[in-house]
Amino acid sequence: MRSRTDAPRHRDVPRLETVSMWFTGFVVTVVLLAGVVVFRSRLYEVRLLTLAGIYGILAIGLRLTLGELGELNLGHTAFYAAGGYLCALTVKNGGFDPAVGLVVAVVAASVLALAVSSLTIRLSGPYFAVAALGLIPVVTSVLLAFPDTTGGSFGLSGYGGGVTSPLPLIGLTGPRAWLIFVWGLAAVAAGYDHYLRVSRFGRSMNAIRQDSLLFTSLGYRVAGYKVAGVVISGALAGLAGGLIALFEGNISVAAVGLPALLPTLLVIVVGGGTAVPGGVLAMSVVMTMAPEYARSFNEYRLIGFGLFLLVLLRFYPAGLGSFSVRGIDRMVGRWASRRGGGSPVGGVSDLESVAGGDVTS
Amino acid sequence: MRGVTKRFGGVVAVEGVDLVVGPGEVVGLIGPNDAGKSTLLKIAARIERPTQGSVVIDGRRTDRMMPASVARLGVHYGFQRTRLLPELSVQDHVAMALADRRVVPSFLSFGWIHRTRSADVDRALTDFEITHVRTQAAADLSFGQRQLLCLAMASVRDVHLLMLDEPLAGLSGESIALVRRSLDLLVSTGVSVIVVEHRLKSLAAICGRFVVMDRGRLIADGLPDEVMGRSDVLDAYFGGGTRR
Repeated sequence: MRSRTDAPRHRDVPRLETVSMWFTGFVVTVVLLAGVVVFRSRLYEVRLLTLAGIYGILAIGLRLTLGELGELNLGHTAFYAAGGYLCALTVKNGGFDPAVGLVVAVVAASVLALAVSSLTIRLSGPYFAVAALGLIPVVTSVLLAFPDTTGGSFGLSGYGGGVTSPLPLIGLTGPRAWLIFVWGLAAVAAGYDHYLRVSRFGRSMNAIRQDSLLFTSLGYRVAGYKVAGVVISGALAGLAGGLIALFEGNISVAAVGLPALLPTLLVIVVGGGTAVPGGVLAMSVVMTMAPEYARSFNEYRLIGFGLFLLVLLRFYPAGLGSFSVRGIDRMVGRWASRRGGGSPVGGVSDLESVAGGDVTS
Repeated sequence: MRGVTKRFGGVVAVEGVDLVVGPGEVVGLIGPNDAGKSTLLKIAARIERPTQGSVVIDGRRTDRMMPASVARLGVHYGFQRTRLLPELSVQDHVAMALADRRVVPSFLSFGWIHRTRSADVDRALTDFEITHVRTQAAADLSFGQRQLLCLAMASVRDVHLLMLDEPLAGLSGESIALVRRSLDLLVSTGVSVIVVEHRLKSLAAICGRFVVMDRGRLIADGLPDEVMGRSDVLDAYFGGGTRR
């Protein structure tokens, strides 16, 4: 029997991830507080913040495949488009409740993700990225091929969605109710993302990212984990698609297909795709709000944005999310060394690699 | 393993190899560089697929199976130059070798180390004398520690066929004795072992049988002393016999 005292405790949740959870909570709280402040100001900002929440959910889905599985899924917004259109069609043609539309959006995007990931399972790296990218024109063409159902290039509208429509499930109305509803879902998505990171499933995805051949040679079926990862990511994109269709009250391929891809990529790269969902959410707020506030600077705002990206990625290549993580990490490290303990394990390992022990072979 | 041939494009890496390894047998697979030793092990582990020929492990034909399924039969391949996940800690590596392989249950448990198996992880770390580095990331280990970790991972699995690609490279005398003790322990439970190694003296102390490959073919098979006395083996291995 092993006594409780002498055995070192297994650290199941490394500190970095605990910090990431704090940061997520921090961001969500700040945004909600901002929302409360905005309650007394313009509806326009409430609307932008709500959009930021929806983009955040979309980006968290993409972060999951890039950050954990190490695969860049350039077809991510095809799931978003499919979810959005199917949600709108369920409400418009089926006459169902918007809540049913959301469920249909999630299920449809998951099924599409399952099909695509099963077909591309042997691909990885740039090959997977390009194969996945091919999905967007396929989905777009299918949507444009049936203008009687999908409205062609004009898209769908007039199905009762929009910012003044009642919320799915809850039935409350008003832009502020939408804001809280969407950010509630974004918080759930971020929490789920964190849960996946610390679960053995997340660890397995991480192992695949680091060395899938070693993982296979231990008897793990890489394909199963990869497909499951892409399906979860697709489900989040479907949820975001359904939300955007309901919130905007219209949907067209010009808004949800290829044009949505680049901003989403930017959000996860700058937000910290491999680090924390909180950074991703923060960046989606920045990306949505900043251009609006910077409108008075005209073309200078693009230069400013470019400079912001360059400087940020030069000094914080791990993205916005690593801001707080590093600060807190250093604080905890200093505190630990003052108390005579060594540097704790599990921090930002690329910078503060733990000193090696004695070689006693 | 019968009539196994592997071609990479026009290059023949392994040609018509027949090899039978009995339960509890320790075979040293030796030969000059590029003789096809590692390729042969990879074919047996189904990491490579043979161009021709068949592989049967525990009565089941494995050359058409999925790599992960072959691994689940109890086949363990220890990669050359120790393949580990750089960001993962030592104890998590051992736990990963122990953990449930199924996808769905993996959603419901946290981390690699399962409560019920943590004693097994501790035992393996103690057996291979790497307890003091258990929380270090694999990237921060010395080469010898990496080798020991690879063996610890193999030891916790339910292994029937263990294949090690240069497991003694970078190990000191004490560690070699440690590897030898653990191999003896595994062999006593009926595990078959194939070891590729260039340190022939140490290898001869571990193995009861040497198999020699040269340019993709099997050229000799027998007791270590017997095999190393043959002139064709010496020619192939040392290019005309410079030193033993």
